[in-house]
Parts: sequence; C-alpha cells; structure tokens
Amino acid sequence: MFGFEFLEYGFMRAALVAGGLTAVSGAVLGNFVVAARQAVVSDMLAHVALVGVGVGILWEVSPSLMALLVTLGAAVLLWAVTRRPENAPEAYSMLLLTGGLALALLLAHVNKNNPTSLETYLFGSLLTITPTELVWFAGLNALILLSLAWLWRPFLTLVFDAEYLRTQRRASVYEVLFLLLLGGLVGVGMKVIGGLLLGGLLVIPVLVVRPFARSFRQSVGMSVLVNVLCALGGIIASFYLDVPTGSAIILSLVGCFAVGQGVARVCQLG
Amino acid sequence: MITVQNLSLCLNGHVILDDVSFTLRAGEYVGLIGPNGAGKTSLVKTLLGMHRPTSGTVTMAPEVKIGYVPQRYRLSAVVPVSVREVLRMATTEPDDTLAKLLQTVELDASFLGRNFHTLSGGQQQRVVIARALAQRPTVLVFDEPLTGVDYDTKQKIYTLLAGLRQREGLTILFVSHEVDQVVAECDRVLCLNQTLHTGCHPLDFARGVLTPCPVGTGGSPTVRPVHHHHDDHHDDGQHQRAGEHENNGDDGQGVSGTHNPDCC
Repeated sequence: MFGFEFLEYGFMRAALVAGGLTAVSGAVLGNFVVAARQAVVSDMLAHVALVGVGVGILWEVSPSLMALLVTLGAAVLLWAVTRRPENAPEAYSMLLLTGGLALALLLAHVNKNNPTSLETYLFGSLLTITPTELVWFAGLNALILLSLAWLWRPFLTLVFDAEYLRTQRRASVYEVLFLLLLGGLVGVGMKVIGGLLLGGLLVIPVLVVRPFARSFRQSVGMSVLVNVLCALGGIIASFYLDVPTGSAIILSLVGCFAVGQGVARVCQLG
Repeated sequence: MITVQNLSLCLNGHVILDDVSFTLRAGEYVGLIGPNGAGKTSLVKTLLGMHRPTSGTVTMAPEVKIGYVPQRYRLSAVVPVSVREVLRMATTEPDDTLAKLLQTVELDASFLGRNFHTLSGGQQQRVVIARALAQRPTVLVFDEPLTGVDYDTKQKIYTLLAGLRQREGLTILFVSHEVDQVVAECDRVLCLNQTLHTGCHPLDFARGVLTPCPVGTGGSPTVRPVHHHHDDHHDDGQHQRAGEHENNGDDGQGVSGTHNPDCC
C-alpha cells in the first residue's frame, strides 16, 4: 500500500519540490541565524510579512510577492534601527513583530469578505502552490543558496565574531545582505510552511544536530539532511494521514530533536 | 611604526579621547591600562580604522599591518565551529599553513578538526591569537585577551607572547586591566583615562593616586619605562593588591573626571 502513488499528483510533486528546496535553504541559513542569535529576528520578519499578505489581498496582487517586499523592507529597517548599540535587536524585533501583526489583523478585518484568507500564510499551504509560485520559489531558494556559498567566509565571521569582521572590512554591507537573505527566505516560507511555523524550519534542524557536529560545515550538512528528510516525510505523511502539512513537518523535526537528544545522552556527546 | 598625534575622539557627544599622543616603535611591547570607560577599546578601534578621529592624526608606517586579538568568548558558542573554520575567517591558505600557524601558538595540527567550543579557555585564546597571526601582521593588538582565563593559563600565554615577539619580531600593544602583569611584561605602559597620564608609575595610576601624575599635554608623552622600576615596585604591587579592597570605590572616581576637554 505504501507505494509512490502520491507522486501521481501534480500538487504533491510541486509540494515536494518547494518543501524540499525550502528545507535546504532553511537549514543552511538557519545555522547562520542560530549562531548569530537571530532566531527572534526570523520570527519577526515572518510576522511582518503578514502585512504584505494583507496588502496583497487588498490590492489583489500576489500576496507572496507583497510579503517578500515588505519583509525585505522590514529587514533593512531593523538593521538601520539596531545599528545603535543602545537599541536592543530583540526588543525592536518585538516592536516590529507586534506592530506588524496588529496591522495584518486590521488588514484581515478590512479583507474579511475576500476568499483568500490570511490563514494560508499563517500556517502555510504547501499543497496549493501554483506552477508560477513554484518557479519563483525555486529561483529564490537557488539565489539564497548561491549567495550563501559566495559569501560563506564573511557571513561565517559575521555570525560568530561580528566585532572581528568589523576590524577587517565593512561589516554593515554583510549585515544588510544577511538580513535580506533572511527576508527572502521568509518570503518563500510564508506559503510553504507559514509565518508562524517558519522559525522551526530554520532553528530546529540546527538544534537536532548540535551534539553530533564538530564543525560549522558538518552542522550545515547534517541539518540539511535532517530538514529535507523531515520536510519530505512530513509532506508525504500529511498526504496519507490527512493532517496539516506544516504541522507534520515541524512535529517530525521536534521528534528528531527528542531522539537526537536521547542518542546524545546515551553516547555522552555534546 | 604607529604615531598618534593629538588624537581626540567624540562619540555621540561624549568625549572619549582627548589629546592623546604616543608612538609605537618597531619591536616594542607596550601595555595600555586604564579604568573601565577610559577609552581603551575606542583607542584600539581608532587604530584599526573603525573610528575616525574627531581631531588629531594616526600615522602608520607603510609596513604596518595590524592583527587584532579580541577576548576569546566573543565567539558565539551556540553552533559548532571547528578550529580550521575559525582560522579561515582570516585566511584562505591550505591546511598545512594553518597547521604551522597552530604550531606558532604551541598547538598541534590535530586541533584543526576539533570543535572550538570544546577546547579549554587557554587553547581557545591560542586559536584566536593564531587567527590574528594568519594575516601576517607586523603589529598585534590585544584587547583584554585574558579576561576570564585562569592564572596558570595566563602565565603560559604571557610566555607565548614574549616568545612570539622575539621569534617573529612583532610589535605588540596589550590592553589589559591587570596592571601588575602588564608592568612586569611590557617595555612600557600607557596610562589612559580619556587622555594619557605621563610621569607616574602605572601602579600609582591604577590606584588613582593622581597628584604626582600629570596629564600629558600634547607633544610626545614619554611614559616612564617601567622595567627599571619593576623590582623596586614589586613589593608595592603586593601592597597595592591588598589595599585595593579598602579603597576600591574610590578608584574609579579618583581616576576619572579629572579633565574636561571641549572637543565636541
């Protein structure tokens, strides 16, 4: 019974490609995000993106595109505000997060007679991805991965030792680029896994492999593997078990985390 | 190698440095001490080109290349990072070059693949020093590198630095809170509190005894070379440490706020 019949459906193939690709870039970027202690920032961007969704629904333009634009704007805004050391990033992230969410709720109220619901972007709607969206998402994911590969060393230095990077070159350029990449991923992730769950796709795989990795590269490699397996597994599970996709993906990741911690404890690692 | 002349620095309307002048000569091992908020890190950042002087100049000889060594635990510890990756922040050279770098800080090549966060404090600080050396610097700047390192490790690092200076002919600027050690290790000591205080012994400066400790006013403050006085003052050092507990509260006040420049 457990064959590959899910592959016969176009929406499933699209979901697997979009989910798999987002899992790859989510895990790679997630390692940088966790090392830089910016997990809260990714959550903030995802919530602010809902404003873009609301505007998109109101103006009848692509909510994903508007979400992407708003996220990129919020990323630059956050960078500009937190350049001053007295402006704590997590506090200003919270300001933008709640402010964005409040605005999104207002827009949802204005849009309440519109058939496109905000909920699609809160929890994701991987199974309703259109072919056009798929092309866009694949392109954006490729762009994120290529940028990370190209800027690997400065980004690695930025997230582990920003002060050192500042002594070497203009760190602000890399700070902005990094936030823009994060904004780009949020733009993709809104539809794939939803604004509320996206943080899990970035952070959990990194936590899963932490006891087993001895280098950043290993951590990236292992977390990509975990993320892709859980994303594909979650999507397939949601097909057979008829459960929400985002929920299945994140719960598989949480399951991996629990197993990983158990194994690490037994083997006395990390 | 580096000449700082009448350097003043204001940040956000506050005077951080006022009329600081000194020269770092090739091969020198110079300490920089001062209370919290004295402007030590700002001075270092100005040398590194991260702050633009409000007035005054910083002149570097053409051969000057600064290697910067921060406190080891600046490195984020939440995701694994190997020693190789820490070194690669500074250089793209292959593994055998990295192994040689580790050798100069007395670690062997097997450390390359190890997780930086599982090393001891002293080993981590050695890796951070190796990272600075990777850029082939002529001047090494240490910004309170031994904060939170135990006594034994500190001694080993001091020995390592003295050796590095001899073998590689490096010029070293060493920023520290630990006056006794700096006095013992360095050729001379700059006493900074917004401006350089010259003509006083660093131990007096640290104690906040400023009466015989005039403020350096431009020109080239000649900080008294301390190694001549080192033996004489060794006992003083002990006394000072004992006495510190009594007038700890006075220390900061005594040293700060003695000068009121108007560079802003």
